[in-house]
Amino acid sequence: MSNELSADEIALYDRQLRVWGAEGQTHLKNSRILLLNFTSLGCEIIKNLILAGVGSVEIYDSDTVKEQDFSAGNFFLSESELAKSKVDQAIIDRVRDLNPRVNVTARDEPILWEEHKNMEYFRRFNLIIANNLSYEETVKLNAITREAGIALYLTVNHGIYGLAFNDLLINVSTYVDFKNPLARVVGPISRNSEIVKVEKFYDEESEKFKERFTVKSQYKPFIDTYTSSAFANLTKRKRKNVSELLSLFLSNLQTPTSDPTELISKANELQTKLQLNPLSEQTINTTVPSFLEQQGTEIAPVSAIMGGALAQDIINFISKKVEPMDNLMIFDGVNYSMPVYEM
Amino acid sequence: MTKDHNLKVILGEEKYNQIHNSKVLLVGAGGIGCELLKDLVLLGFGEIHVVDLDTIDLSNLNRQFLFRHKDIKQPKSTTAIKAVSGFNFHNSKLVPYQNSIYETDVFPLTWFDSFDLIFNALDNAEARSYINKIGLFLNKTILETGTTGTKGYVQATIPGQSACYDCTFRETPKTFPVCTIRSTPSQPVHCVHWAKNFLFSSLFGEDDDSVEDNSLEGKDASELGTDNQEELQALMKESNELIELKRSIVDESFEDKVIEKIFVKDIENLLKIEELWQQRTKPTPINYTPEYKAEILKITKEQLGTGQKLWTLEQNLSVLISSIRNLQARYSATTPIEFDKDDEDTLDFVVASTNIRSHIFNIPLKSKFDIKSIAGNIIPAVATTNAFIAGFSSLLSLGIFNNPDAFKDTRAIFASEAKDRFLSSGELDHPNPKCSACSVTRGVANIDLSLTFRQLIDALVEKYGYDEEIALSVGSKILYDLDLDDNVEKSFTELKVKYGDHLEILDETDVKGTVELYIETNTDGKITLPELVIPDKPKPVEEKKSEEDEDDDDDLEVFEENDEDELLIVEEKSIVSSVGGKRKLEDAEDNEPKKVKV
Ligand SMILES: [Zn+2]
Repeated sequence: MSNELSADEIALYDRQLRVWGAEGQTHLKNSRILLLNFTSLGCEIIKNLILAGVGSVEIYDSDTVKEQDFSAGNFFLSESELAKSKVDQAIIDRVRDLNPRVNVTARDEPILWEEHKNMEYFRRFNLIIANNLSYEETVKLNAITREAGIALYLTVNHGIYGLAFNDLLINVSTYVDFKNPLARVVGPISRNSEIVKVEKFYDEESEKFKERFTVKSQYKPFIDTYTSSAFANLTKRKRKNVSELLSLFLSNLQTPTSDPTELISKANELQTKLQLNPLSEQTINTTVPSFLEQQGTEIAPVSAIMGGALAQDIINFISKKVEPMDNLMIFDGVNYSMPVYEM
Repeated sequence: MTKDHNLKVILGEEKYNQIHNSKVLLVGAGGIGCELLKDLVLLGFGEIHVVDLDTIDLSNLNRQFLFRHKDIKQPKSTTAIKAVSGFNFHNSKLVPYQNSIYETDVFPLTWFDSFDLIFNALDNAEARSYINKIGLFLNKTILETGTTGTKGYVQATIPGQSACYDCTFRETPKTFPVCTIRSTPSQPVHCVHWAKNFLFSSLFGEDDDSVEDNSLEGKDASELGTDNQEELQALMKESNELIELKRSIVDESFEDKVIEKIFVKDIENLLKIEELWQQRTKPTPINYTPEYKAEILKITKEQLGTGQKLWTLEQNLSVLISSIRNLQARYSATTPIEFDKDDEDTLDFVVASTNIRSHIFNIPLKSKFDIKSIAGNIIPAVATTNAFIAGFSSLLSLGIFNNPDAFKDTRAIFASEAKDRFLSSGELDHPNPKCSACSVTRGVANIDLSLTFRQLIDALVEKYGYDEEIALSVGSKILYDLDLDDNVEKSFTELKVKYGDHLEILDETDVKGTVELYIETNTDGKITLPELVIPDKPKPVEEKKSEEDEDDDDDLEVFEENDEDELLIVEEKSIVSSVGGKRKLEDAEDNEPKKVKV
């Protein structure tokens, strides 16, 4: 694998090469991405990855374009495609047009999630992004990605609320950073990560000491989030600050409902299991009704924000330049917060 | 379900209708602008006006996703609007302008006043300050944004309630002493500065142009960085010889003369000043012989590659020679050549001469790719951060729109690199009482420009109760004060005051606070001044140091996209412009704007 890019690539990618370098760009060029479900958020993530110059993208969606899709924020659609496949030729041509260097393909025939019938299909990719799958599909897909060694990003969004999860299996990468006041040492750094190697060196260019350190992160499967002990040892204050959208999303995914009482009771069960407090009055009175009302809707700003953040995270992972998130993110468009929890 | 289903459910019927009937201004159709335009169109804003003077470059295409290869050299504003019309599902009215935002005849104050909200998607501090002032004149909310690489911010400025854009002090770029650049460089950036601003402009720029930074005239010892007379004499001689050398620019032997003077003789002269080299490693002039040159000329383009790898000294010399030949062919005294990072000949010249000088002074060489970044002041830019920041700008706008409690409800957002969150947010700051923009009382005056300053002064005295000790200025030009009373009988036209100028009135008795008037014009022989309540000038008080906010360390380093070919240098980071960097005004040592008398 050569890191030398062509003169054309350097000219086109100049401004981003200043962020992740030629080596990072080469990693991107060698990546093969599958997007499951062409939602508005999916459209934003894939737009950013295609602009960044990944190797190939396959977009899967077995649905047709509906009236309401024109207010969800997928800007690759146009009104002339109403009732046609969501990955209609004209739509995919528009996606491809973003960056002709990226090989863009589409699939609309349903994917069989059963057993290992589709292993060969999935093995063609090294990263899968799946939007708004059902709980059963999520669990099956995650089993497939684990067996095939494929990185996975999952997203679920309802209006101005969103959740994203990633399973990057065992990720070992070496990063360079300025030396902290406290030197990095070999050993665990968080629930799922440990530093396995550190070396200090003098950087001539910045005239400062830096550290080159290797982090090994053991990602967990999605299903483990329901029994995570991540919050067991939190201080009272920190426990209170954990976004209650987490339980709303997770329980609503497992047991979909439009009944507020049922959602509240399921979410409270999960809160207990995760050693969190019962849902607050605020959540019960305000968040739950709007969460349920907005189920299955999307708008452009949220897709742009989550799509920007997740695409950059995917780029961080593929380019190996910056540590990717680990492993669950909540987007709260009411309080403008985006915490990440290591579940 | 209907076409607007998602919007109606999420925004609610009322907000949806308000947005649909609104008229907003988007300033800038670049990295953030393309993203914002997409978001605003998809949200169904009623009318969106987009201003951008720029045209599309190849290096925009990695993030300005509304543009394609075939659009290169086309205007950004019109191209962006054409691109979004494919998904203009809610029939927003879209109006492009390929103009500079400063054009007051195209964009008078009344035009700005017709918008409900202003979205800034700008790449430079000057334009941001200008829009900030417009917002202050009109009491209009602005959503301000900026990104650099994976960093970025969004925040609203709400006149009278929140801090404005100019409430925070922005560091000015660091400059190097002349002697560091001219005789004792120690870092690659010194050599880039020398190659671009001194050598290149001396040889190919305008005759008396640009060399001023590096000339010795009118500078004190601290700017020069030396008081060694021998060194100053040598530098003076060097400059004069360079002017002499430029006369032979048409000669075939020009390339040899340049190399022999710059990289051999000048260095030998510097070596004679022993004092300079007592604590430093001595430079080594190159050994430039006809045989050596013959070897250099054998180097092929293929051997040079794409500029990612370091070139050897010989490869740099070969690039220098070929760039000199190309520039010679292009040069004429009437059309001097300006450095442009996207102009290969100028870039090659600067890269090669930087590296040859670095070699001479034992400084590490750099690749063409890296030197381009320093010389062209390239700001890293990615699609993801722009999407994120623009997304927040449009999301925040929904909460600000028609909301009397916007100041309390909205947040400043910073993209975060922390492991446990993707953003940090904070409440908006209160206005800084020392701010040179928002502590000023503002209004609109209507003036017949054929009238004299005397008539204005009389009107000001009568209307606001000044005594005659006032100073009037426009921008950095003082037009009237007690020492400059020659101007009183001159007309506004004679003093080049025009429509759209901001006239500043300073009370030199230090009683009244500063006033700034936006000049509108008439031809009816009238001066109409606005009704204003001018507060007294605040008395200087002892300031308590406020404690640092521990949570918001991210916002200390926010820069921005900027494509200008200026070499801006900031301590510790050689390639960033700090124009968007935030630092409290209290820390500024001297924030008084410098003014010149005309
Ligand atoms: Zn201010």
